[in-house]
Amino acid sequence: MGVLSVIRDLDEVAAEAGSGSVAVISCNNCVRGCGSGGDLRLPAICEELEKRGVRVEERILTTNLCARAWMEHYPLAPAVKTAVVFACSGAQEGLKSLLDDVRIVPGVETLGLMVAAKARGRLKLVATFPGYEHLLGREYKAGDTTVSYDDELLSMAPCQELECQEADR
Amino acid sequence: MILSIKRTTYPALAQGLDKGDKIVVLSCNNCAKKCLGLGGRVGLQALADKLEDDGFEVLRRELVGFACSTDLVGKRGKEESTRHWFQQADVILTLACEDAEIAVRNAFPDKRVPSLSHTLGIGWGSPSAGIWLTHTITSAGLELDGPISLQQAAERLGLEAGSY
Repeated sequence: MGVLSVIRDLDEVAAEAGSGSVAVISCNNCVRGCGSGGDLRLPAICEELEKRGVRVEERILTTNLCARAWMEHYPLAPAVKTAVVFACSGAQEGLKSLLDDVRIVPGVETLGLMVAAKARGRLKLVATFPGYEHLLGREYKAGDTTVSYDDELLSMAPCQELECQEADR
Repeated sequence: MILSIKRTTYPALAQGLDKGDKIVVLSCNNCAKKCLGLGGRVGLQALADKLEDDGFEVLRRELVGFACSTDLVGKRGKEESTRHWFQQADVILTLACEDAEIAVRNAFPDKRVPSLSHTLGIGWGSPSAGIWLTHTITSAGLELDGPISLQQAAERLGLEAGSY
């Protein structure tokens, strides 16, 4: 569970999903740790989308959506032309490559890679994707990445390079 | 999934170790497993076997569900069944992404944890379609015009993907 994603505004997601039949697809790995998807959040997310007029035809939870194999074997209902995806942008790309005729609406925004410290209730962003560099080192609430902190609870040891790294290259 | 490749070569890695070092090889069984065997059981066995064949002392081969979790990694240093090995170790060789290496250093600040992985970013994969890099992190040193295979990404950087 190392990819940090934050849930998008559900009003915006619902507007992008439109009025047709929709599949809500969630990963149960990294986004579960972030509280931006996963088994605990999926029912509430679907309920919120339905309240906003989204017609949720299918709810799908998979352990690792980035490992596309499960979706390769279980196609979506023919009526579904839009999928709202609560998984990292890598998994979203995997779905796009598989579901040619389905529009993918991202349910989350992926910021970078994290180290998780569940016992301390925090996730630390230790590497970022382009555009999110200003967030490097920021800490988020484990299980709810809509909450971030200005202080720093998790002090990470500095990188130790291998002395031999330049050799034998 | 987080995609990583080998940062160095086995000879260079071995050169950075002393024959007297007590070594724990720790492998992540999540993303790194899918990085063409960098981690998981396959990567763990490949590296630990090579080290033992070359006369290094591998105290313990440890597989962790998510090595980017300081809780799961730190548990190895506390639990009765594993504490002993981690206390004795001089070096923890981590077969996982770079954020997991940070987590291991955080959990075991008095151990040497060399950088063995170069983490590129995230992507997707399947047994039939292969492993594809779709988004790179700023520190990867690689810009993408579109998805490329993990193997191609490694070649572009002059590095290798897969097990040590």
